[in-house]
Amino acid sequence: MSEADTTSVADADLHVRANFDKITRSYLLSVLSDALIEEHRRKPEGHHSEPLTRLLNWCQTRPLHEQYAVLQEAGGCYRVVRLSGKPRVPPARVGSESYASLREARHAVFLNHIKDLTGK
Amino acid sequence: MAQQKIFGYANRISVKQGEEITFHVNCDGASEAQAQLVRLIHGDAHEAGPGFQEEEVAHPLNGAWQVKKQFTQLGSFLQVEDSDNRLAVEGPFTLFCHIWPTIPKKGARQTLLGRWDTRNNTGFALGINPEGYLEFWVGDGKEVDYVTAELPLVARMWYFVGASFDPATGKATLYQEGVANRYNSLLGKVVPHDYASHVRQTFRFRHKNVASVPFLIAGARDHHLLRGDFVNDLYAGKIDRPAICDRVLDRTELDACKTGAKPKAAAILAYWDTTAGYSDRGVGQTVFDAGPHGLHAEGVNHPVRAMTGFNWNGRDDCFRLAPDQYGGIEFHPDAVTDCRWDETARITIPSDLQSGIYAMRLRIGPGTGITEEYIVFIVRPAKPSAKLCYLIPTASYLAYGNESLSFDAHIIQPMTGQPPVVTELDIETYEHREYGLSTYDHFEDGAGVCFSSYLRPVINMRPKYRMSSMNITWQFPADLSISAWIRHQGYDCDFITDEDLDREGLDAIRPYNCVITGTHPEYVSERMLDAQEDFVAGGGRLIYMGGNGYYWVVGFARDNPACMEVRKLDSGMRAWAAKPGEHYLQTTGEKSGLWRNRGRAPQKLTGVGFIGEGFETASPYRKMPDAWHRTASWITEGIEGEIIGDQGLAYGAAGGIELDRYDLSLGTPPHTKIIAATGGHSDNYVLVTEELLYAYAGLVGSLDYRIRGDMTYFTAPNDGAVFCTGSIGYGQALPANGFDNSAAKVLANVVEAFVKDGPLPGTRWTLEEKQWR
Ligand SMILES: [Fe+2]
Repeated sequence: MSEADTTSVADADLHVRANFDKITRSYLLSVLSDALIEEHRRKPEGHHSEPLTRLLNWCQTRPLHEQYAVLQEAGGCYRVVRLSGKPRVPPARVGSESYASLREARHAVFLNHIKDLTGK
Repeated sequence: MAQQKIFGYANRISVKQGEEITFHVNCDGASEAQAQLVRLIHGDAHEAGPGFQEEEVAHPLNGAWQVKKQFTQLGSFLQVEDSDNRLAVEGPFTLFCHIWPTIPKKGARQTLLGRWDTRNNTGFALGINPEGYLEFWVGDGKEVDYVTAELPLVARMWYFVGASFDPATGKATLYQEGVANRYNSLLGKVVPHDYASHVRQTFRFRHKNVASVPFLIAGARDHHLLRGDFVNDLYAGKIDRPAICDRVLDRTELDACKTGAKPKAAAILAYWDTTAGYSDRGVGQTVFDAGPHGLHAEGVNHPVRAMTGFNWNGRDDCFRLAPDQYGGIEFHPDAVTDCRWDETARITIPSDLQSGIYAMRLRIGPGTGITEEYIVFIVRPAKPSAKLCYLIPTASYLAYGNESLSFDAHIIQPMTGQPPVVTELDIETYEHREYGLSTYDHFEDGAGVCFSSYLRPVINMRPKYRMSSMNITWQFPADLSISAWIRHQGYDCDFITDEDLDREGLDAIRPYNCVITGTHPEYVSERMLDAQEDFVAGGGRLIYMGGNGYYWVVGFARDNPACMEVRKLDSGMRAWAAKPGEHYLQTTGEKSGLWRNRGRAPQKLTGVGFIGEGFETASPYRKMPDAWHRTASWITEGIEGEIIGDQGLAYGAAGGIELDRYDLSLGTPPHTKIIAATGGHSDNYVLVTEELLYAYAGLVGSLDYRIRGDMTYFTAPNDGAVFCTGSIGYGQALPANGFDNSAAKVLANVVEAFVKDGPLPGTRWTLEEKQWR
């Protein structure tokens, strides 16, 4: 953080949160690997390695408007949506893919978080 | 064509054979719905269970129902009973009240009090303009004159505000002063804010009184072409002791009123004494006018009372100690406790319809998703006849009614460890928000929701529904797994609800040998708790099928059992926290919060109480040494090996979701046996907050042995007994593998023993068991 980062916010706590998040992201980028992503694909629930545990914790505690959900469509297939974070504003579709299983959709949510993390 | 959707509710949640029930339906895009009475058999489509099952029941009222668009009045406000239009003042007058606004800068006008028609611009009112400034205005149907304060109102600060108007001179005077003390407001006196504003202006126009416009507090009359008259410009925040006088009060007089003094009696037209009517049993929805005409006001959609007023001193923490400090009434523009829709149809429950869980199924168009509605109700027997009674936890259904945690609660994804799985129904309900909130939600101003009612569509109290944040059935649809099992077993069973127990007490369950609960009977009134305790002490047998039960202290208003109140406070896994001084139920006068904090931990009745929760995996139980004890070995008879409940519809096993633990220090009966316990839970399982004195790292499933569900058993006086599963997931394990599984086997052993008259199995050993272990 530097003077250059100074913007006027109503809640100064956001500055501290942003700093914490920057540090967390740089750790997560240092441990991110294909193996970690594969670990989630194989088993999205239950006990995980420490890096994956920390990565999932970051995903799950991001601000609401950066969170995703799975939309189960009437036909039974699944899509990824992003929450609005605004009261009464419904979630928006992310991408056009649909998934045959919930497990695949959950992993797709995870991959969207990774995309946000890496900016790629 | 408009989007097709259909929603409805019934006037009752529990109805006896031979009684009447009315249905109230709102429909878009169709004028006729196909109605079919159904008995609900199973509610979850999960592939490990029997799938969704219902049985159509013949009834003369089945068939086409005329349906229409119905409108819902959102928002809480007070409606003044003024049939003689005494408040249609033509001469000079003054309005005043104390306020604690929560969203002053709402971007929309909020009315505090007055006789105002927003559509035709007639009348007068004191309110807050869209930018957050106190404002007084008058209108003659063409023109409106305003006088506005110089400073915006600050949220969550107490003010005394008023306005006077003299039509003879056109002089309008606005009065605004801060009245924060050390306790009553968000900010203290160290903040260098200026709260006062006094403005005088000469109006060009005069107010015109129209006879049909009502005097309202916290809202104003509006009109819509299709809908007709309704209340709009709703206010968010508290109002304390509003009044209207029939002359201009001068600055000195208003300075006195600011401290809580009443104006001279001769000047008062109406003075709503919001502190009147309290007793140690709470307070109702009528706000009494202490003025000469008795123009009492009636709360619509449950404005919240038993709230601190402008003069709360921070020392007296309950209206029972100092009612004069509890004049605050809290209003919410998004509250709804009764949709007040026109009746669509009424049916008489056939006197030979078997007691059970039923619904009126309504379909339009494709008849799936939001074009299909199930209005659920429980049919009680006219006369009890079975030995087994299923106590349907309707209070807990209300608590969760229309929850929107997936969309609004930042806490939910870390809690559940998974992204929510939402459907069209969830999104539709969330977007429109016309059917009110649950006690897990917050109003738009951030306040926790303390009232929930079934006089509105409750979209998660229906079959096929899964709680989106956890992607499992929850409450009502989960409880269908238990009734499906009871039916599969062929047990004779009567069904009753929490509402019946609250109204009738022990009498409602006295005839039965055994009462079995739902999966998550978390919300309990004192009468419900007393009845179950007396039932067990009197020789009844209780099977507590869930986790996190007997937890919150709730109250039902005597005159309106459809509406439940809870205040969440102090400790416990809770979605919100009541503010200081606001911990007592307005409906009963009791302290709310956890029963544990009132000396009645769930362990005292059941043997177990809430210890941990997690939402992505579940575990089976492992037998503990007491399983082989000669007084209790009959419970696990027929179970090979040590493992119980290794299948299920909720995360694949019987032990999970919310877990309860045996704890002697909280009143578990000392002779209670732990038959089996879950364990090996993931770290998504966390310790409950009421267990926390100091927090430290490691209060999670794999590190803390206390986080488990205990299957327990103890005997009570007069051949009574209690058996607990200690886990919410147990009920959803029953249908696994065609109802053929170890969890179901254990429960069958217990139910079959518990419904029999006379001594329980294993009790012939108890003479030797004087030492109890
Ligand atoms: Fe709960």
